[in-house]
Amino acid sequence: MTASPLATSPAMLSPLDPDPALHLLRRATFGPTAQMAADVIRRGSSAWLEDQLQPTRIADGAVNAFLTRYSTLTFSAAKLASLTVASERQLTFTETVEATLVRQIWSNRQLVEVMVDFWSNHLNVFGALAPAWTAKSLEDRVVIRKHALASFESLLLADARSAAMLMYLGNDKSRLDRPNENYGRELLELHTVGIDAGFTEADVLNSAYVLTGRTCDEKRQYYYRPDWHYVGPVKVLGWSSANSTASGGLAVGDSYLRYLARHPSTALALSRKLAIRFVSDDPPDSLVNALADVYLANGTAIVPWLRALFGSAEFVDSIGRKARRPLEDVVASIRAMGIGLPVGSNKTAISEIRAISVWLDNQPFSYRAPTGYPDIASRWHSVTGTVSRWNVHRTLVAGAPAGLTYPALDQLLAGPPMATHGQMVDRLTNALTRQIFRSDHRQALLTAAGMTDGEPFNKRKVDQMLPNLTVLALDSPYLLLR
Amino acid sequence: MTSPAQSRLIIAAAERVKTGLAEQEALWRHGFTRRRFLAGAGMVATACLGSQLVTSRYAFAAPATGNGKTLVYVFLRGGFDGLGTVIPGSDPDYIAARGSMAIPNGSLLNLDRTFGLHPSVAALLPLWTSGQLGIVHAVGATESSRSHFDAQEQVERGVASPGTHTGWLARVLAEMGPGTTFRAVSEGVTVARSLAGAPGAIAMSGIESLTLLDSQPAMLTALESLFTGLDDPAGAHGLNTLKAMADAIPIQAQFPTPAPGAVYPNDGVGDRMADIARLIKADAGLRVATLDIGGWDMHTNAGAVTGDMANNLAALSQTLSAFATDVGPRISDVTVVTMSEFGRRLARNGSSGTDHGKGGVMFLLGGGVRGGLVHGAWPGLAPAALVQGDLATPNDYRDVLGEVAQRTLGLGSLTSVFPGHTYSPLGVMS
Repeated sequence: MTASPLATSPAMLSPLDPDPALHLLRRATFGPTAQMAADVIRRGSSAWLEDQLQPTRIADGAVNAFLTRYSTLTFSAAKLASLTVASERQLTFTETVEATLVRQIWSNRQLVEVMVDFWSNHLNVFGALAPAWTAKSLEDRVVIRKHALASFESLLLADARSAAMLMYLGNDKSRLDRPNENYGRELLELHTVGIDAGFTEADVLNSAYVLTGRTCDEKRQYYYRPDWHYVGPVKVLGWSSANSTASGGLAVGDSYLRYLARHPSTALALSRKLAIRFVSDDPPDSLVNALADVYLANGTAIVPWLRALFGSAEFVDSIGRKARRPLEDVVASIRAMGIGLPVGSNKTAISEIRAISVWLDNQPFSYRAPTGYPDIASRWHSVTGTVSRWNVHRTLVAGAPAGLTYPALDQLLAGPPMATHGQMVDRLTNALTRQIFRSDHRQALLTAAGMTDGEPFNKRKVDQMLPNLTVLALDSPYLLLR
Repeated sequence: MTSPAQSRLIIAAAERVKTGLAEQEALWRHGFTRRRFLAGAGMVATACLGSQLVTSRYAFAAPATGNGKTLVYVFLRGGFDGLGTVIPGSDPDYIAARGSMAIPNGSLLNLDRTFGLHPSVAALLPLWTSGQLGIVHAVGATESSRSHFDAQEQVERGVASPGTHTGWLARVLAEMGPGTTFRAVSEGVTVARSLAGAPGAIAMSGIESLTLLDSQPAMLTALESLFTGLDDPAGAHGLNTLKAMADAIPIQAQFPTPAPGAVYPNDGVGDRMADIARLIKADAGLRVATLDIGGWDMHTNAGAVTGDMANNLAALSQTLSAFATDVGPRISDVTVVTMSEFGRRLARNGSSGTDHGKGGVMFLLGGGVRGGLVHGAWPGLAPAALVQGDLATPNDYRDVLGEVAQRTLGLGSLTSVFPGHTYSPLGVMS
């Protein structure tokens, strides 16, 4: 993780350090930390990745201890359903969001958190609205988190029994005599085979028919209601069923969902999406095709699929080809600065981080359309968004949100004595981004601080300039790109 | 460096947005369709940050292009129910198909012998009467898809074939040459698909939001260097942001509040529309503005005289009406056009809503509009006239957009804007 020789291949024109271990950390986590960089070096990239793919192997005591302060996270389905007071119901959602933020920032089980984010967007539910609060809280646990590293088939089957999804896409009201096509359509178009798979309007209607009966009660608990299920032959793409009884409708639906999960078009659509998350906004077909093969060969299992992704040449060649979305930028900045969990029982600071995520239009589980948050850099090119990110960096460096554990900025310079201001800038950028900046960017920081490269280290001047230098490193492409 | 007091401003601003949004979200107790409001940075009172900042180093006033007029493209995302808004109220096919969702004839605001407006659109009636508001019915794309995303792609590209990647407004701007930083603005989180490929098009959530805490010249100079020489679009975007911050300063001083009598709804969307009016009044060089208004995908419990659709329509009408009041005499320099990816099915579905349909409605507002008329051919709702159960689209959306672009922005030929389309104007502009 030190400065590397100038790269020559076109894929390496990025200013980001091409060190493979650092590249892996930038992609498989919400941002490298000093501790994780040390872990990767100690364990080796492959062993580190295997740990991340089996997250129960990784200790996460501090985060788990902190999360005990969010009492609704352990509410049973029955307890959630029993809540009637709006503020109590809303709390289940806000605690789910805040727990997600805590895990993204401080959990050692980073890859599973990245995949929770991936699946939460792939199977997006707009959880912030009142009808969804408790259902989304439950769905986060029993659908998304439970299956995030299992198989897509198990994830999809669970999702199609989730009150949150069924309400969000109107399937809770869909009946044999008056089907609501919304879920049946998005299941095909967004969740599985994709728009180019060649399904017809008749397929969409049949898809809706197959799913009739999957609904929820007035307490927003999922159940299957046979008398709402459409009975009769159904056919979608290459799948068909006599669907001859109302009581058998749930099993027919499961057979349909399994067919969709294992469809070659689903393999391609999901593999492209995975490659967009982890490789580049326009991933090569060679990678997408190879991932689709792995996905199908392993019965939609997620771990071998991720292993193939991180082991691919296309992944290795994609240094710096992704940009962080606004919330990822905030999370990575907090991780880079080494800011710790609040001491004691103070949850206010986490609530303020959630406020920042709302302000940046990127609160988890809060995208309105069923597509989920976009994962393409150009979709986030808002000048307001960029000014706002830069303002968040200034806010963090000034010590807000209050209540988090902020190390003194000069801790970023910890180590042997530095002789020059040039060495100081390198030490600082290495602490924040795990790399030395390109020479013109390094010079830009020195100039902003009124310093020169060879100038002897002056503690007073450095202390005075550290906040601005830290802000600039966080604003820079070295943190924006991943 | 940023002071603790300044950093508290950011947290406080973020908290206000969070609280405001949570209050709105808590109001929507019944269904998922009621999600008109936009989230976001735009709702922030970033004005409170003050604008004591930024050097003028990046500021440059490129000459404004074009004739000084502005096209405002409002996209009603999700499939706008034109049949439930501009209503053939005495048509027995409408009454039968919509059932309990049909608006009683006596509640409609009469427009002509065929159509009446949904009563929640009352705020637009004075503009209709004064001839500044026109309507196109049964409009859409004949080859359209029933997928939101496919259909939006198609109409925002302005071309059916996916071979054309740029948006139709980007091609309009290409005909007009360069301009100011605020020549093409999407008010919202992302640059609209219709502007994809337009050099310099920016997304922003209000001119007030472009204020950086603690932006000493040395810091701005460093940021400029950090985003220079990057083999990544992030570089150009960073530089664009610096320029927009600088160019925003003189505009931030002007028209800080809407004109008297211009009352925008307090739903996030209203603020965005107010900002478009502000850029027009401040002569910021705005030629094309886009605004997204979501929440029209009403598969469930859409309501009738009251309910979700009625609430959304009231907010839309109030937004357009406040905009007209706000820009005042400058309305003669503006055309607002609304459209959606498709209309909704004639028949209601099983959830007291409607599924995705075909022909829809476009509203046109501005000084150059031939107002007080429902334009275009009307195919009717008889079973034989429907296309797979939907209102047909005898009127092509490109003929409307093309005429609006020509007459508002002074464009010549539309060959490059809508390639492959034979332009046949409907006479919606005077």
